[in-house]
Amino acid sequence: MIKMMNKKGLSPVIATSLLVAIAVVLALIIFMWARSFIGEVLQKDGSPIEEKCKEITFAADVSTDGIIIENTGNIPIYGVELKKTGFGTSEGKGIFERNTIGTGQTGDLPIPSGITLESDDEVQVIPIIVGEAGNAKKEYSCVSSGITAKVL
Amino acid sequence: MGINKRGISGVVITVLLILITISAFFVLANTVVPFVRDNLKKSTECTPYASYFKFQEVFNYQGNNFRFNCYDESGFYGISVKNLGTNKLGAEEPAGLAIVLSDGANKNVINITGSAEIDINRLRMLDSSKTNFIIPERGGIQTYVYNASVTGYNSMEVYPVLRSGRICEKTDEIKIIKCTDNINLE
Repeated sequence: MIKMMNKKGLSPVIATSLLVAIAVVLALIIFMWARSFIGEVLQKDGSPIEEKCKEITFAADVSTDGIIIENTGNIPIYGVELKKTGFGTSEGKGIFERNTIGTGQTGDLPIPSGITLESDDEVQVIPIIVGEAGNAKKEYSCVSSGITAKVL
Repeated sequence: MGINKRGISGVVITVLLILITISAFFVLANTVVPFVRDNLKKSTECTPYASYFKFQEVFNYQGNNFRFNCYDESGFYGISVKNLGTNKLGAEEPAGLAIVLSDGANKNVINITGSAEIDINRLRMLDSSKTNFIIPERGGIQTYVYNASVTGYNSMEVYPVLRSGRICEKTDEIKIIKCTDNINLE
């Protein structure tokens, strides 16, 4: 009986360290796991990118040869998406050109391949800006900031 | 006498505990984790589509305004939908959309699936030369014509349908008006 009482167990310091280590590892596992379910937020200059879209102002002259974009706002425009308007439709997926047009600048973009424009066609010009998601940069189409233009 | 009885040795108990821990880890990894992950995915998969499709109330074309969400006397209904989706990270394009026509008491569900073949007598694109359905892409608008053969539906709702087959929450609804003279759905 006395022999049993003298048996040494785990020292309190080691036991505490082990518990803390287990808790930290578990917390890390749960964090890494749960993070994949939470969508990354796309931001620009520290604000949600949707808010920055509202600040975009630009003018677009579209001809059968190219598009001239004048950036009259404070947000650099990275490119545009073109959507050709028909009777009851507006379509044209992923048609854009990358050529950053800074504040107050005017940029000349070619008509991208895959879209044919004729005089008097109507197009929707949707600006694309660049946001940050963590360390990565992502393009974002500001659908709500699109303008309608007539092909000259 | 009992005190002198020998139990399991320290080494054996340690090995047993390690084995039990490893077994428990594998059971958790193979059953509980996928179960929770699948359920979490189900509960969040509709989040990016909260305001995805909207009815295009007024469509401006060649300087004229058209209200395509309308019905005519023959029971044809125009359905004009805009995709207001954003390129949110990780969100894929939905497989299609579901339209619910309602007359207050009865509901009629129409499923429109991208690339599906058109049944011209029932549901088609406004452009009748199209043979397959087109779902509006981000920022785009598409207009459909549904032949209900009856009038009386006075409102409709739109729901995104995901590739998993899941129908998400309603994203918009609109009152159906009588078509103006500048719209011919037949």
